[in-house]
Amino acid sequence: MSGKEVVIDVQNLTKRYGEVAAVDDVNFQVKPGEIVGFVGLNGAGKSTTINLLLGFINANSGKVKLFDEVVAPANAADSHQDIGFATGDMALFDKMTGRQYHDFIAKSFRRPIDKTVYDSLCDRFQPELTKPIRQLSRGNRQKVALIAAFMTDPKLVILDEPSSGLDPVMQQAFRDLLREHQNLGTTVFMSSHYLSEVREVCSRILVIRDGKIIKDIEADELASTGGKLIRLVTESQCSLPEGSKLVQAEQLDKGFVTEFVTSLNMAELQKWLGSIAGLRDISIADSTIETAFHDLYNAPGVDDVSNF
Amino acid sequence: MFQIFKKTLRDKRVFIYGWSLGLIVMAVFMVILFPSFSGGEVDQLVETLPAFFDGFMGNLQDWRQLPGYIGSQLYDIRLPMLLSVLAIMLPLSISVAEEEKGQLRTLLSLPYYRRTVFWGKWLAIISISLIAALSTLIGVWIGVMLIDESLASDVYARFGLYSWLVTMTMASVTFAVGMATGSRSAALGVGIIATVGSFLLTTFAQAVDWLEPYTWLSILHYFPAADVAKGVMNWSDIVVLAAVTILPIVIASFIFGRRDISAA
Repeated sequence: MSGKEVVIDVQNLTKRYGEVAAVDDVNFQVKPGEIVGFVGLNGAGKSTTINLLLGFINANSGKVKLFDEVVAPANAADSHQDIGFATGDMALFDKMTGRQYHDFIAKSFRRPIDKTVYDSLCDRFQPELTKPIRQLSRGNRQKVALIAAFMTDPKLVILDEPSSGLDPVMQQAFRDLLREHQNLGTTVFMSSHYLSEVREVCSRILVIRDGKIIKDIEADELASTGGKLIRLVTESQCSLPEGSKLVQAEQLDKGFVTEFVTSLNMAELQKWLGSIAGLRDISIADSTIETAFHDLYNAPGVDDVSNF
Repeated sequence: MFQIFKKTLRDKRVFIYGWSLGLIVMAVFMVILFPSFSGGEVDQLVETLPAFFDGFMGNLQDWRQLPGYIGSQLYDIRLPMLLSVLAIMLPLSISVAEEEKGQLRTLLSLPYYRRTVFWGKWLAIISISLIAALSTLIGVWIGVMLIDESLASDVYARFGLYSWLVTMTMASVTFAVGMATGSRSAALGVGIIATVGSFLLTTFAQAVDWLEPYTWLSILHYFPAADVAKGVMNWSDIVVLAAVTILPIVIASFIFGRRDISAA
C-alpha cells in the first residue's frame, strides 16, 4: 500500500518504560475513511500508542507516519494541522469559557473554520459555552472537547475514550456524528471501553494486549466469531461440548448455571442438548462483542493476527 | 507564538494584577518611610548594631540620600526577596504545573511546534518580569511624589533595567529546568538555589568572610543596587545576567523539543 493510500502507518513501533514494553513491535495501517476502534484493557498500551501517534512521546524503535510524513515530537505540528484530538478526560484550558476555548482552537489552525460546521456541532451537543470550563460538569467539558476535535473539519480524528463522560443521549449524538463523518471520508482512530459503541460505529477493530496487537479484524466479524452464547440451568453440573469456551459456572438454589460460547451449528447443538440429563432452563443468544472480546483476551495462544 | 504568548498572559492575569498591586504598594510604603529613616534617631539605633547586620540593613551612609535609600532598602533587600518568590511561582505554573494537569498535551495536540510553545511561554515570562519591574517603579514614583521629593529619570531607568533583568534571569532558570525536565522537584530545587540561594549568599557574604569568594555565584551579585543608585552602570553585570538567562533557555528549548511529555 503506498503512502498516499494510508493515513496512519505504524511500523515496528516499540515504546519501553524501563524493562516494560508498553508498546511492543506494533504494526498497523489505517486507510482514508476508515473508522478504527482500538480496544484493550487498562494498561494494554492504547494511550501510549495514541501518545506516539501524536508525537507526545518518542518511540524506542520503529516509526509512525501520518499522511506519509514521519512523526517526531519536534515536527508533530505539521500533521496536527489535519488532526482533531479529544480524550475522555481532556485537560482543557479551564480558565477559559467553552466559547473562548473554541476561539483559541480556531486561531491555532492556518485554515479558517467553517462557521456552519461549528454551529451544527453546537446544535448537536448543546454545550454550555458561557461558563468557565473549570465550572462545567464532566459531560459538558467532554462536549466542549468533542466539538473542538471536529470543528476544524480534520482529515483524521484521534479519540481516546471519547464518550466516557457523556450521557446516553449525547453518546448517541456522538455516534451519529461519527457515522456522518465516515460518509464524508474522515478517518477516525478511537480507543474505547464501550465495545457496543465500537461495534456500532467502527468498521475495523484493533485489539491490543500487553503492548501487542493481537487482533486486526472487521467489527462485524469479531462479534460473529463468538458463535452462540448458551445459558443452561441443570440439576447437576454438566460438561461442555468440545471446543466451547466457558464464560461462567456457578451453583445456585435452582441448580447449576453454566454459561458458555460455542460454535456448534443448530443440529449439533440440538443433539448435544438431548444428551443432557436434568435440564431445567435454557437460553440461546448470539455471542456479544463483549463475549468475543473476553474470549479473545483470555485465549493464551493469541499473540498475532493469524492465531484467532 | 503570539497565540501562546497571549494565552499565557491571559491565564496569568490575576497573578499579574495581584503582584503588580503588591509591588506598587510595597514600593510606595518603603519610599514614604524615607523621611523617618533619614533622621538622626534611626542612625543612632543602627550604629549600635553589629556589622553582621549590614547585609540585612544596608549601608547607613546610603540612607541619607533618597536614591541610596531606595537602592539599599528597596532594591537591595526587600525586592529581591519578593521577586525570588515570583521567579519561582510564575515559571513553575507556566511549565511544570501545566504539564502535570495535562494542559501541555492539549496544547501540543494543536498545530503548534514545541519551539513555538516554548518561546511563546518564555516571552510571557519576560513580559511579566517587565511588568513587575515597572510596577515597582510606579510605586517608587508615587512614593516620591507623596514625600515631595524627586528622583532623576536615569535612576528610574537603571533600577528598572536591573530589576527586570534580575527577575527575568531568576525566572528563566526555573522555567528552563521545568520545561527541560517536566519535573516539579527539579525545577523547584534549582529555582530555590538560584533565587533564595542567591539572596542568602549575597546577604551573608557581607558578614561571613569565607563566603566572600563565592559571591560571583549569586545572581544578585550582578545587581549591586546601592551602587546602581549612585549612578554605577556596570555593563559586564548586564552581560552576565543576559548570559545566565539565555544559555539555560537555549539548552532547555533544545531538550523540550525532543523529550517525552508526561501524561496527566
